[in-house]
Amino acid sequence: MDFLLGVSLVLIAIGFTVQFVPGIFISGSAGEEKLGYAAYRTSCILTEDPGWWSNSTSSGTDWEKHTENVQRIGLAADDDINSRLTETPNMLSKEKLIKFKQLAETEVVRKLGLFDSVKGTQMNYGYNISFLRNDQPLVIDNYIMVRGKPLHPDQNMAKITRVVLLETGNFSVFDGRSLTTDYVNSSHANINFAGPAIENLTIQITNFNAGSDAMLINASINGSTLSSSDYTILRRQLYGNFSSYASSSPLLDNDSLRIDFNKNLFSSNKSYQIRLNFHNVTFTQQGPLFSSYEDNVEKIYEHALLVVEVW
Amino acid sequence: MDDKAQLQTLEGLGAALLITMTVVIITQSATVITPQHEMMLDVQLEQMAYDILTLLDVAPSYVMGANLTECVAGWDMNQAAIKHNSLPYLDRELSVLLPGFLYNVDMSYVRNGSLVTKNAILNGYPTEDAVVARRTVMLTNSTVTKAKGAWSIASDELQMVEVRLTVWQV
Repeated sequence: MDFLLGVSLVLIAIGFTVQFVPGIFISGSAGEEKLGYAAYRTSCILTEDPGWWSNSTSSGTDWEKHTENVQRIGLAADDDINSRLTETPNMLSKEKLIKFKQLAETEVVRKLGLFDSVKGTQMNYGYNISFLRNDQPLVIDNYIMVRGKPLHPDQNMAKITRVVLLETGNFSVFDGRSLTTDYVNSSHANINFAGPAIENLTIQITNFNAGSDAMLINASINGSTLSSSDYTILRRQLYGNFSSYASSSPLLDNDSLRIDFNKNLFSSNKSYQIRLNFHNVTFTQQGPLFSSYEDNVEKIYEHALLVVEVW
Repeated sequence: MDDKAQLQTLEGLGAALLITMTVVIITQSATVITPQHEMMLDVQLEQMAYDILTLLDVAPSYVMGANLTECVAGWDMNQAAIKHNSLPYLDRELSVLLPGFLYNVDMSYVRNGSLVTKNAILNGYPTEDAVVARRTVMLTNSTVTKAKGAWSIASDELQMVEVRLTVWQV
């Protein structure tokens, strides 16, 4: 009798422990492994593949232009749509990101394989795909870059984080030593732009012919000096990240400046001339022909994290 | 009636309660990391290290400050020591991309038929759970001349270099 009581007490104790400490004996379960595979696979497809579309006559990696015939959803930017591969994995295209955000839920679940089949019935996984910078979701063209549902606290899930570069817009890149000016050896640079602007104008200049106490003082458009609220200036010292630059701060030869002008300054259908007024920076290329914004347009990529959670 | 047996039953009850309480307190107060979770963390860190090497190599230099091939081409080929690394630009970029982690960078290449491995960035000695990511870059005479590096490569030669990034958390 005593023995039976003792054994039953031990069994009750073990039962209590298993019940109240979730996860202690389920680490090797097949279900959890499947979630891990799903999260890893999803992150790989999104970051390393440009996607694919095809119909009876044509195909390519530019699925963002043919969303009705998507075969595979991938976000990596691709210059050659017939290549089937990308040479720039982890660099994600803005247009693909926005179309990914707009796709129907069933399409995303099916194309990314975020489901399991249980006795012939499709059981969708819960998922959350977020693009984060400083732990906050990125906003691109008013779209918050998050897909899926928020995760419940204490939920058993698989998570994988990838480091990516996200295309967030366009900018024009210039070498400071080849920028044009309206009279030789002056301290101001002139750049032409044909309006109207559909997005903010961003100009990046690297490699200045800078003397001591070199600095950027202000900017003007068609002769009118702009107020500091019309544009923002960021600076990067030789290697590192861009951070804010106050007008008239010191500038070195190998610094990079990124100046972002509000698009409303270029709303009319006419030619604009932007003039950047420096101190002790020499520009030797005399116009006309002036440097043109449109001739040097490149894509802006920003460092972000792609977080895929599946449950 | 055997009083001793009754007492032993009560002792058993007390012991069972003690065991249960101990297990509950331990599991509630500390995160239980099962082997699978630990493996997942390693996979995660290794994936991040590979992502960073890929990005540094594929992104043009106007996007990120340092391009991996350009940095390696400009290497002075000196063995690094702690706090005296020989790739400062790459080190600065990695410190931004790997906040809160420690890392070393080694270069492996073949010179006169034998494999040479040198430290380029040395921040310490990796722990047992460190992960390693590798990427091979190709140098030519013109990339080295442009980056002002110390490699001696003839104009019709290519030099393959394996860049090894070791990352760990303290």
